[in-house]
Amino acid sequence: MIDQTEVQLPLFACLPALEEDELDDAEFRAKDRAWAALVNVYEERKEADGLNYQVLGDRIGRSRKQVQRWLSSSMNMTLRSIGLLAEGMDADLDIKVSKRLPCDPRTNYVHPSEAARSYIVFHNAAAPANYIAKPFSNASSFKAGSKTTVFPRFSIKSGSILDD
Amino acid sequence: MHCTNGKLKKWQPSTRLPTRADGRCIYMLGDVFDAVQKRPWETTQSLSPAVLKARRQAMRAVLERYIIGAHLNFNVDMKELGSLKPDSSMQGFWEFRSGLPVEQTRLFGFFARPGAFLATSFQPRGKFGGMSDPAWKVEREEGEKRWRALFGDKEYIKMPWPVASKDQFFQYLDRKDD
Repeated sequence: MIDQTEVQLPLFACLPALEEDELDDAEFRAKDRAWAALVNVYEERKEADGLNYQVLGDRIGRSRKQVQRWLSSSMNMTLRSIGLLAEGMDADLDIKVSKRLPCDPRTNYVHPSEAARSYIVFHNAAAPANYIAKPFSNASSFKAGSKTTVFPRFSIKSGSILDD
Repeated sequence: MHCTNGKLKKWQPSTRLPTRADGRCIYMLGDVFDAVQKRPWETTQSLSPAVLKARRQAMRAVLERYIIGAHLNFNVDMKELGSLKPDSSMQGFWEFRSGLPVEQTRLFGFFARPGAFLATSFQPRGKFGGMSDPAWKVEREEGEKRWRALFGDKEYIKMPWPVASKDQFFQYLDRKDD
């Protein structure tokens, strides 16, 4: 019988301070993800609806050059440009911040069937040593007092978790 | 595919758990790994510490998106260098790209299998001229030598080619053999 009760994670006192690379990446990640998503929508709209820098610029009161600059690199993104570009492309922003799991399965994309049959050993700084994650067909569960965590079968693509 | 033990290092996003060998991975030769981990990155321009930091963050963010399967923009974040104006002498040679406004960077290499990228060099964009600059071909030839030194006659992925659509792009990234 598997205990389906979610157990509270170790609190922040248990988490190590972020290292320099982690801090750097955290600083930049939000605008990079927003930029990548906006470029993706722009490319789709360009192909399907004939959108271009000039049309988008005209719509949001910015020059073609400015729009091109914004969409050419994540380094140029600000909250203002993110909002303007999304609105200009007639797209809704949907910002989601998800709590990390003690054993986050989002390590790297892997084909669903591969994920389903594999056993994974994680070494997670935020969790007791040698957590073991196993594929499982039901909902995820964290077993209290155990070093074994059972996960549903999963695959990750474009940031979403898909039950197999 | 076998290679000489200990010659490659696996690059990992900073806040993620260890990546799986059968998922999307970036392997680097030792000197490439050291160059990518170094701070700040070398540049041919004079840049402030804050900008140098952002330049490094921008490329790391692209590599992270590749590994976790987030949005990747074809020919913006990654590009096959022989495909835009098809040139078979560049076939199979890829780059990860970071963008403007500061000097861009390029991580070059080949795919050993879909999703398994082997980085053979890391360079500031300022090292190269336009796409007709012979330095691009030299970079590929050096990369090929490094590949051969590791894998002998084992081939990297070359097909489909030219890589002209998102679908073809993702055939280099996602496994279909399961």
